[in-house]
Amino acid sequence: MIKEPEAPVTTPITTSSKQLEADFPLIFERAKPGRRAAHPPVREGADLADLLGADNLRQSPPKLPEVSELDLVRHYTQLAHRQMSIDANAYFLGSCTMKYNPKVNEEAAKLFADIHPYQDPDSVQGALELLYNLQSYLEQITGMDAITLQPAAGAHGELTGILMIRAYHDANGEGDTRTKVIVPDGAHGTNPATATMVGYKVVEVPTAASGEVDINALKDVLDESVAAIMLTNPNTLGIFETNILEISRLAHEVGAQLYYDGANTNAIVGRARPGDMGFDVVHLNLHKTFTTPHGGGGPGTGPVGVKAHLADFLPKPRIKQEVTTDGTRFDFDEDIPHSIGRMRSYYGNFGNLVRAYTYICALGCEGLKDVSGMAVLNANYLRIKLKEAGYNVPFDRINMHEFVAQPPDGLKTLDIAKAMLDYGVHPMTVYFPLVVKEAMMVEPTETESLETLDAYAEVLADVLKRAEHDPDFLHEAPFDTPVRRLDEVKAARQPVLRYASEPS
Amino acid sequence: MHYLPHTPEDIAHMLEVIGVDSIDALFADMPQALHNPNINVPAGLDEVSLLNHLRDLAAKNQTPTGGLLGGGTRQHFIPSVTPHLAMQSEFVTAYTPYQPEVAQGLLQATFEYQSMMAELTGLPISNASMYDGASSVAEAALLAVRQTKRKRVVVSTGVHPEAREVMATYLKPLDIAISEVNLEQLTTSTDVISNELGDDVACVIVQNPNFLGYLETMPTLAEATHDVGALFIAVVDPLSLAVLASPAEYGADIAVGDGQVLGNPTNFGGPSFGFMTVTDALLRQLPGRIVGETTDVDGKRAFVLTLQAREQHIRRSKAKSNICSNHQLAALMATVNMAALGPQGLVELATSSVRAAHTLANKLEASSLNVLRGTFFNEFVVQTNRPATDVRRLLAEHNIHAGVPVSPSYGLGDAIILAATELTQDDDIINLVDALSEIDANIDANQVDTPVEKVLEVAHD
Amino acid sequence: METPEHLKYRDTHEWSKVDGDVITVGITDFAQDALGDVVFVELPEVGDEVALGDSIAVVESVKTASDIYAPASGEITEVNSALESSPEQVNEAPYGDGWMFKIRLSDLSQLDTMIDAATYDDVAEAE
Repeated sequence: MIKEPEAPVTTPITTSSKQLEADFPLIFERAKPGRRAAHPPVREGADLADLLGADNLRQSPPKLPEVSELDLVRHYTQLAHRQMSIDANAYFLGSCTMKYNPKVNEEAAKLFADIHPYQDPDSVQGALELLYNLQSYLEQITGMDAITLQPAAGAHGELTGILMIRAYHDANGEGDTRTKVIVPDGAHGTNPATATMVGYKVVEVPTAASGEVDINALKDVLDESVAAIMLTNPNTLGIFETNILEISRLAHEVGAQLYYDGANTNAIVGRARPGDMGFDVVHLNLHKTFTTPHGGGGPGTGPVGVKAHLADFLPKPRIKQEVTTDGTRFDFDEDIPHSIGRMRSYYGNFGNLVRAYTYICALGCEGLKDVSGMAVLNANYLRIKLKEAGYNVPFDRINMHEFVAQPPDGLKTLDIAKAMLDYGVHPMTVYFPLVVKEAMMVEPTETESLETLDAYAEVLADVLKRAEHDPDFLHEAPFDTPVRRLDEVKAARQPVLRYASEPS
Repeated sequence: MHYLPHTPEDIAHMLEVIGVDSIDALFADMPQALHNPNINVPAGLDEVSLLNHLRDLAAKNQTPTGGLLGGGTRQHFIPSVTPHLAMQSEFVTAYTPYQPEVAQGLLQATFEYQSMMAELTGLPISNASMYDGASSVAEAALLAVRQTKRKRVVVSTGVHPEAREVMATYLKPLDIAISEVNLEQLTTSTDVISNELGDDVACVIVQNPNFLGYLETMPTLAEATHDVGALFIAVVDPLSLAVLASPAEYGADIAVGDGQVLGNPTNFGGPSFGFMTVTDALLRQLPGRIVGETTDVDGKRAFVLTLQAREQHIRRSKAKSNICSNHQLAALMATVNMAALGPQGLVELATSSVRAAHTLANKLEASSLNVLRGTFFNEFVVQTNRPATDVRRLLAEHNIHAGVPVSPSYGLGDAIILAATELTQDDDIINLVDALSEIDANIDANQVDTPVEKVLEVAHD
Repeated sequence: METPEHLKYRDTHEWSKVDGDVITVGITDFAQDALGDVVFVELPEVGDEVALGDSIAVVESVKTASDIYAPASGEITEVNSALESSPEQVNEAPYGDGWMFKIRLSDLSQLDTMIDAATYDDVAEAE
């Protein structure tokens, strides 16, 4: 499981010029005993063995890297250069909403970075007011009656939402009889995984030829044993579920709850609300629609909104506003008798909540409506452009904020994706949703310009042209990236998951 | 303000290419009843007004100094170089590294993170981080249940109360029983734990230093746990591991905790990150992302997300957890910070924190305050003559932010947890001792401290 | 693609070799080819009682994971623990060293519902 100090060279020497370049070093490999970067304040005093007991101490200090400050700066600056990002590259990942992250959000977050979760509430009234306002704005935007800001990510929000649905059925004496959760076959993997974590059996329903949920198949499995239906709308094909009001009616007729996976909120923000569609629970991914940074995979934030009949089950604590004789005051409310409990320590990923609040305040209601309008405009324009470039669009209709394409017959999506890397363009989401073979799921977002969209289509056209001219090129690309295609089989068969300074 | 690039001409051109005559026409699939909801959000602001509004809100907060607040989150020294490097926009605005050829920056940094967490805890396998300490405790309990196929979890009340609450939320729908074992005074008793153990127990969870700040006898607790074939889960403060025995040294199977203290600001409690390291035997049960080393087609070393078949995007309903992301950026802050401090710096932070806390405790005792004595790290309990939340509020009026309230469930009466770190200066200690002496002695005059305002109305939103 | 005549099959791509009341089980050549490079095999435990159709093992390649279903009811008497360190045997010798587990059958008549090589080839071709 660990890296051998001097692994025997098993790779044959090839003629590639890249072979001659040295491996990019690990921070551990730049280290030299005695070097250091940071110097903290030091308090002199008694020996730790006297204060804590020698038995409680570790045998030797942890073997962390010892580097100078400039070595440290060079290392992590060069590593940053081995990384694509929105700030440097077009990044049209379907269902991920890689839009521009405004810099003013970061300035705002710094204003609140050093307050502590266990301060006296009267000394953090500004933070509590911000949270209270954000809850209210998100209620307005989603059309829900109450919001919790606690979940730490979208998937965590899903778990929160499904736990609330379970608590609701329990409270109605139906906890034992409602055993299933319905998800479409195009759903995000987190949906079925979440339902399982809450002890539900997952029932998949297929996608119809229209690209929407097959409503007849849905009717066949929908009965009083169903606890919830989890839907994304628009769905993962970028298509609005036109039968949503009918689905809502059918679900509620049998007492099931309707769950909204908010991954695709960017398509409708400011123009339509899940609450009005009949959804009982909604989660949002603040790193998608509301521009908190993706950070290479987190921290996310997944607020959850519910209709009034579920509000008693929200996680605790909630934030309350008290109007007193002295004015308005905010505090935590721990007294939520039917709450599902706590989902996370403290009050959620507050730093991200500040960023999302900043974004909503910057745009206002009209600005949010423009977001979805321009996001959908960009996606439809790019759909036409990719068709012109020679790609198939299996569900060829007006789409919402994203669409799914396929390479021409005989070409592999994986190869196209790898070829794009040499153009400095990040590939779209590939091989998802599972219902489309060789899926290429493209979401350009509203912050990309016409010129960038055209350039993206040109890159994809050029890849096809080169593939025709030189078929091998596609299988071997990329050539100019920091590393080339990886041996993922080796990584999984003989996992090396950490650096070890000496053999164990 | 907005972040939209299109000119009116761009929009007209694009609509023409698409073949529709308006933006609204693109939304024709939406039922008419859904269009144009009334959304009550204030109008947008320009950047100056926006920042003024946020500064106004921030001005209603007081920012603690001196590292006196603990309870799982603490202020520590973060050198300027740490956020400067970790918050480079390539890291901040990247996505999950699903295309490893162009994501070596984050993948390698995560491999370095895993290596450092393995080194700190002594356990060989680390995932790429999780949400926070509390949810990591819950995930560790679920791991133990999967591995042992047993359905009871034994947990000491020395584990952070919020972590226990989160675990209870996670385990309830799965019919996994939780047996909470109360502290004997300030620490967990091996005898009391042993009385709870049987062959139905999946794991025993103990925090060190515990929530109140005191050191547990981890080796004997681990031994008792292993005697019944259960897994021993150590909830640890990663900074303390610079000097305290590592979970591997006392035989833990799983180490979890919150990484905030390794280089993230307190952030009103989030984001930080949770970590989890395990023995080799538990590798396949580990939830969350993992980065592994491999080579590219040219034989160059490279890093990639690996063992992904455990995860939700492949296993769907059979995944080990529904967790999709990690808390990459917060974990990156910790990685850079650990490299900046190095082993010596980390030992200095921990040692100075311990010394500061012991100095504070001695001075409080010298002023006749009731410090609860035991072997403590850098947090400890002081009993007070007033309710803990009142003490905290009165300290805040002296502009001193200290005193995490101890829940009555600990049976310690009115009590607060005090902390100290390397940021705690002698003046901070003197001011806290003086203020606390005054507040504690002044109990008869508490009428003036009680809020006179009357609550007229309560709303949640 | 090889489908040995002397084995029995299920349409979920498991082969069974019958030896008295014990069957040795693995996955077919067609199945290993479709999965790609196998990186891990999760096996049942000796002594497990399994029922026909239960998901009792998992074969993982880099980006997929497939369930292996019990081709018959009975008790697991042996598992191929060599696959823990060399999962590639599933690719290299699906009918040999890549075998996965043995089941002592609770009822021999279950064998009658298995399909022969020719029928299995038709199933595989249809996929």
